[in-house]
Amino acid sequence: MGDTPSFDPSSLDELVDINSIPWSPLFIFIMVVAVAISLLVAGLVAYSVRRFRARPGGGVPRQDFGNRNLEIAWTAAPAALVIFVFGWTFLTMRTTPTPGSDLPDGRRPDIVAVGQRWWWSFHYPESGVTVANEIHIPAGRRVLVQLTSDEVQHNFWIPELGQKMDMYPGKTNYLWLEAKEPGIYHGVCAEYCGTQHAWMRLIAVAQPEAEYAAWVRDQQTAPLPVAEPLPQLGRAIYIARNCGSCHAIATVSEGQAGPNLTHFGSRLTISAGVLTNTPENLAIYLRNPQAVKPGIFMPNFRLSEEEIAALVAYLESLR
Amino acid sequence: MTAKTARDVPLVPEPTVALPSLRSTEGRLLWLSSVDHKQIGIMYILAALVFFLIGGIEALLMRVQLATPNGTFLSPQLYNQLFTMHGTTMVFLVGMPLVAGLGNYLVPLMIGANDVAFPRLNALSLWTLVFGGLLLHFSFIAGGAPAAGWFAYPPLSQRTFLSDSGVDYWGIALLITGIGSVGGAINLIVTIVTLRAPGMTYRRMPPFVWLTLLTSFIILFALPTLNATVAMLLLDRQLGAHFFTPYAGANPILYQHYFWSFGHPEVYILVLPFFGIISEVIPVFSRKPLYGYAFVVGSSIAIFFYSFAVWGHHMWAVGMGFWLDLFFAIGTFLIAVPTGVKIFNWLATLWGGQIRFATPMLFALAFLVQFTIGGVTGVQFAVIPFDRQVTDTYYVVAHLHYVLYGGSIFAFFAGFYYWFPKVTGRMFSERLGKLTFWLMVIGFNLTFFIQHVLGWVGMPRRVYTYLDLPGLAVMNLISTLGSFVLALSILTFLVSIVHALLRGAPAGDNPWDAYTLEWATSSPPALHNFAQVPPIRGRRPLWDLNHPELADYRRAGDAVGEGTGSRKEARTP
Repeated sequence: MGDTPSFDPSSLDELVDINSIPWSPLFIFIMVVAVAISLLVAGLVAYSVRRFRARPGGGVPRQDFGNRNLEIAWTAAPAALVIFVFGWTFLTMRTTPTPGSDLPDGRRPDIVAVGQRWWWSFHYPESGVTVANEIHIPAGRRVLVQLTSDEVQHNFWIPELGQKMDMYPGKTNYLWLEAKEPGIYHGVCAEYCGTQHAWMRLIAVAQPEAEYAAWVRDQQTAPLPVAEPLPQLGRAIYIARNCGSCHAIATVSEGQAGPNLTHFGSRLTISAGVLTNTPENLAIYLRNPQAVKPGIFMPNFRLSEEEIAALVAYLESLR
Repeated sequence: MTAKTARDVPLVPEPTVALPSLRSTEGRLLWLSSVDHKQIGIMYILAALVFFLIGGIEALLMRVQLATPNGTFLSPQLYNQLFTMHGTTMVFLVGMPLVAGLGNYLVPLMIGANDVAFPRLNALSLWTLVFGGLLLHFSFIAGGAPAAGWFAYPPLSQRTFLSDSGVDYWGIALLITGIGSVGGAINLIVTIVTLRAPGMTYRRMPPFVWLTLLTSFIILFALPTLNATVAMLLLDRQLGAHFFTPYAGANPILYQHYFWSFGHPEVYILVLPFFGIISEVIPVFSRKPLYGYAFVVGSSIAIFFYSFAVWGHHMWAVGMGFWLDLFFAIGTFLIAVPTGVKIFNWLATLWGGQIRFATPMLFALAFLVQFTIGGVTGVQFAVIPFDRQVTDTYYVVAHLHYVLYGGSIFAFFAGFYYWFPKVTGRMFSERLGKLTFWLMVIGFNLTFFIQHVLGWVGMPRRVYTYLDLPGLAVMNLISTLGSFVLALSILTFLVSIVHALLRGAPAGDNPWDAYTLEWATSSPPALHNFAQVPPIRGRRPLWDLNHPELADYRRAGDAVGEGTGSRKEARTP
């Protein structure tokens, strides 16, 4: 039914473990309570249908219309329970950094995230670094992310690192992220944002402080020009084909409509998670982006195989 | 003839010619012009079932697409149209007409009236619903169905981002069906307030009538909000107004407040009447009265008020601010209490009964367990940090289907099989009914339980495909297999209807030894509903009639202290 031709969807299995939601005592408590109440009701139903099954000659059961004390009891008990959980929720929200629209006192955001259709742009105000679809953060340090959007509503969510928060045009939200351990964490856009909402993923790479600092220095410098002829040719094609009117590569082009490609070769995925970043996959993508990620704004440029090979060599050299 | 006061009679035009019937060879087309509440009720439910099949097929197509990672069965554009249409169809073209149809058919019979207060308004409400539904589906062949989700949040739903006519069809269809819903609600309110038979005091009204009354008031207050919101959205799209356009300085979040201040009361519109069905079915099949009638009704009145003060719990990812977030948490926690009270009362009704396991009762029992699961996951969302983890994931998909399918639709099937003998005069096959039940229980839980886990591990909603992360493929495959078992149960349901209509044994007036007035008349009910309304001296007039030695009005020292020995004695006809 769909007009998407099949392609080889390389999986990231070997890179990452599945996301899981952080367990806090409050979460565990409400899960236990939910399971307990469900089991209680199911158990009472099961017991009743065995114990009170109509039997021949059973006659008319006692016509019981109710009991005021019981009613008060089973109104008061759930009320006490929800008031308790509300109190716990309140205290949790008071004592942990809460995301939202208020900028925490005296903090400047570490990362400014802008939702795009359907990719992410990230800017580090401190270091001036701009990247797309992939952030690096220092492990063990809490970072503040400012969230906004270019056009439609998005939602920034990395399940293991923090809660989710909407991104709006004309409104600014803030979110704390914290990776306790170095690692690679998956995130998604969690608010429906149109055709390619499904492939608006992001990756957070948490690194030890020293590694993170090295990464920042790396990003601040433009990639070294390569000497080999094929990437050189690719760079010429990139310029000739006007790729730079949408994409930015430091010292080469300054387009803003598409993801910044300055250090594309060092990224894990292509086009916000749709393919793992390998030369083979990049060639598949460039052959017809609309076949891999239908509905995005990058058209099929009908590049020749030679052009593709050269572009792949160039882009993958941007490390 | 009937025990009506002279005041009531002129309000309702009495039918004088025999009603057209599907069984008669003549006059089938007269259904189209019918103003009889029973025929309109049946047509409402038939329309809802047709749209239920359409919405179900849309869901199955989505489940096929999601059965494997990187599925290519549907294009992203079509998938997005399908989930938008599935949600819109199930809420506005299945849920709403089921509520209206059940109320239409049952309320006049249950209160001993001949028809609703405004029969022509009733026909208008039905046909606006049908035409609104057809208009919505016409969008498929008019350039593409809407793809903005059933909530159609701007800015995405603005013309800049979805420039084809889908969202316009969505908006106009909702306006039209919304007008019909408000008309139907007014009709039922006036019917219940003015056309009750003598002796049918508010304290004696069947719980289903009470809950329909409350639901109709919610419709009356909530649907105009939706219509105004949709009108603003259409003005933005068609005339370049700037109600919700951020680039012109407007705030699109305002739309979310408008939408959910309708949207959450809507959830209770789609739930309360089904609580009413459960409150009828469980007592009859336990051979006991409803336990704690006053508390079941009273807690529903509490839900009515709370339902307008919890909408913000759909918006905790918006960034509304600490105190506003907290305000909506309070309401969301509290509304769980009156809902829990009802569960306990239904359980207490079972306790000590003589439980008969006919098909309606099986559906009602499954409702108890499944609705509880949907309810407890609902309260979890009130824990705001938890909500910010699971909202917009499959956890919410699982939750809402446990409430609306495992709850409301299971209760609908309980009611459908319960009243089927009354409506058609035929008994259905218990074997086919039970087969349908077991397939549906298995299919439903197989499809949706695993989605709690999917959401918990981070699978977002409204994605046409997903990355092949560990576990996702197998869990989605289980869900898809479950959805086909569920589809099979719908087939056996249809078979059981056809079988009953063709082969069913005559049902008699009161096959279940039920309590309420609709069982006093013939099956199917005659033109005027009642030749004679039995005396109403308590909440169970037919129980009193059939078990005079155990009649409710003989009861002394009622623990709840009401409903017996009425001061206002009913006039016997």
